[in-house]
Amino acid sequence: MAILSTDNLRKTFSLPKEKGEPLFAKRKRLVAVNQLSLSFEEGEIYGLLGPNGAGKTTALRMIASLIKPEEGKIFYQGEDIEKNLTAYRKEIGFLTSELKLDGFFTPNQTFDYFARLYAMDEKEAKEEKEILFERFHISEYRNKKIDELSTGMKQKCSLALSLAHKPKIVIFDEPTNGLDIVASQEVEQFLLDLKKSNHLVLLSTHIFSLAEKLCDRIGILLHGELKKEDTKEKYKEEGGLEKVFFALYEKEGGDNL
Amino acid sequence: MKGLATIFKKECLRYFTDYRMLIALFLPGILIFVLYMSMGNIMTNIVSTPAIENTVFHIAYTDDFGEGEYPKLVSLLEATFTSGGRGNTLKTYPLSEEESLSAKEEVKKGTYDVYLDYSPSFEDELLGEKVQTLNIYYNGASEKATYLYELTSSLVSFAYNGYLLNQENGFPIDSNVAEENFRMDQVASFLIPLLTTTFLFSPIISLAPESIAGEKERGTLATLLITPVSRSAISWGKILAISLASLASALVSFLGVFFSIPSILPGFQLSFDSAFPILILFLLSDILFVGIGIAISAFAKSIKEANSYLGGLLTLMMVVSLLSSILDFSALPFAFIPVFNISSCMSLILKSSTFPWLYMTITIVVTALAASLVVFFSNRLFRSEKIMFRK
Repeated sequence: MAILSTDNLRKTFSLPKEKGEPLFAKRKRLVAVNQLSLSFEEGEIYGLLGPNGAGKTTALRMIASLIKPEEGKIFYQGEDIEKNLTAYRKEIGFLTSELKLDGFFTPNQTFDYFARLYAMDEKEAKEEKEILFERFHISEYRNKKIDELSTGMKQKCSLALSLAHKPKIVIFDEPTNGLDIVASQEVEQFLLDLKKSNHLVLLSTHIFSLAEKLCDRIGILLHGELKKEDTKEKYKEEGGLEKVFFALYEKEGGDNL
Repeated sequence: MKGLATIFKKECLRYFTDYRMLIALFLPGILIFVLYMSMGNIMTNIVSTPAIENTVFHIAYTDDFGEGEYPKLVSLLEATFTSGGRGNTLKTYPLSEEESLSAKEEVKKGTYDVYLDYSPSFEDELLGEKVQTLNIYYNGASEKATYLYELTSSLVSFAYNGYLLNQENGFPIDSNVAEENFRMDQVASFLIPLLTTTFLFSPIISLAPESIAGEKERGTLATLLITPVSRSAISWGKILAISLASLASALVSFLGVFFSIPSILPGFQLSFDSAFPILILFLLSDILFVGIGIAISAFAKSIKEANSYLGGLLTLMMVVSLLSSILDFSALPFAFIPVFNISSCMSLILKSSTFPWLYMTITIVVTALAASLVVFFSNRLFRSEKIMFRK
């Protein structure tokens, strides 16, 4: 049985008013995600691939319970997540490349803060902190203000924090955006390690090489809809992910998407 | 509410340990104290008459009074100096017509402190039909000359009409019979509501935008919202921390005013009967203002946007506070207007002879209701995806 699944998720957003439109005219709506049904297994890395505005972030935000779908449901271990949202959130680690931690605090203070928000046992939190800080080479900088750290180190701190509460499901929105090649390599290796330790990793990306390198399965999102979903081996058989993607992209209207 | 204490502690740690925040919160109070004390001292020095002793004064006058004759006014001045007991002496200089031409220049140079320019035959013609003139010239830049000018002017009516106007033993008396405190209460009733509104709202401009709009901008709000902590706990944690910090800042500012007020409003005393209700209004207003600040910060997409809304609102609040303390809004219906009623009620407490119990009760109830509504609204905003993830 899938550990996590979505059933016909739909989400729309109202569009800003256009010039010349009457003041009280009904706002037009953009369909961000439509009829999205996915299922994920433990110990796999699943990638959502698509251009900007395809609905990747909205889909991940719904799965992370940050925003609610207008239609459809999300099931964790077979149960609707709405029935016990607090328990579900304890199992989720969520990271977006947009995250910029508060520069006033140190990695140490920030980690402790999040551990307390997740109501972690103090001893357990301390042990986990040591493991993660060691893993991402943060230990040396643990008492420095985040403002004083390099961009790569800041991103690694964010990564460590999203895993502070030992989540089973890790959701990364564009995980390597803004990272240098060394930090990217470290993050990629870490995602593979998470997979080995039977975690489910969901990530969104628009980088073909990253998806092919890390993901077991890849779903292509265009116009908020899942156009294709397969294993990376299958994509390879069809000539590679990039080729498949652009074929679909052209078929769906290309630039008019 | 699980997690509330953690959020409250983290926010407080930020507000009370970040030196930039501490400067923004507490420096205004300290500056107010220093500024008002200096202003008070400067004003006292300007207004009060200096005590001049053992000084020689020089007075010149147009010599049209016959040999060995003094004008009555000069005689009176001499008598005042002799009986004054301050050791001051007066030297007189009768000036010929020619000398009179350069008299004003000599006053400017300091040769004479005062020059009395009489119209011809002034004293002989005084009871006649022709209007007589007496011009008194002095150098206002000199304290000594000013002193002699004031004394001379005050004796004119006695010298030529035989009566003293507002004088006692040759010195002016305060002819306003109102109690000193009454006048100061009028000033305080305008000043305290205005300062309270400013002190309470100013720190919110530093605190609220960073608290939510800042987290939105940094993307940390999403990380926070995804934790098992309820959105009400997040919202309350932030509201309470900002309330505490803004209250601490406002109290420092208030103390700054309290200790400098004797200097700027001499004679004014804030009695316990007035101070206690004002303190209650102070606390309630703080929660209301923090709620408004949080709601605006939650609505704004960035710190910049929140700052611009709150800056505009502060100006509006100051205008409202000014109007409510200057104009008469003692009629009960005005007590039902939130924000406006706070300044108006403070003003009434400070200037009314009877305590405005009903006005105060309505103000407390209305402010408490408005604060609850605003806080409830802020909580609702935290639950709104549209607001929290507004692009």
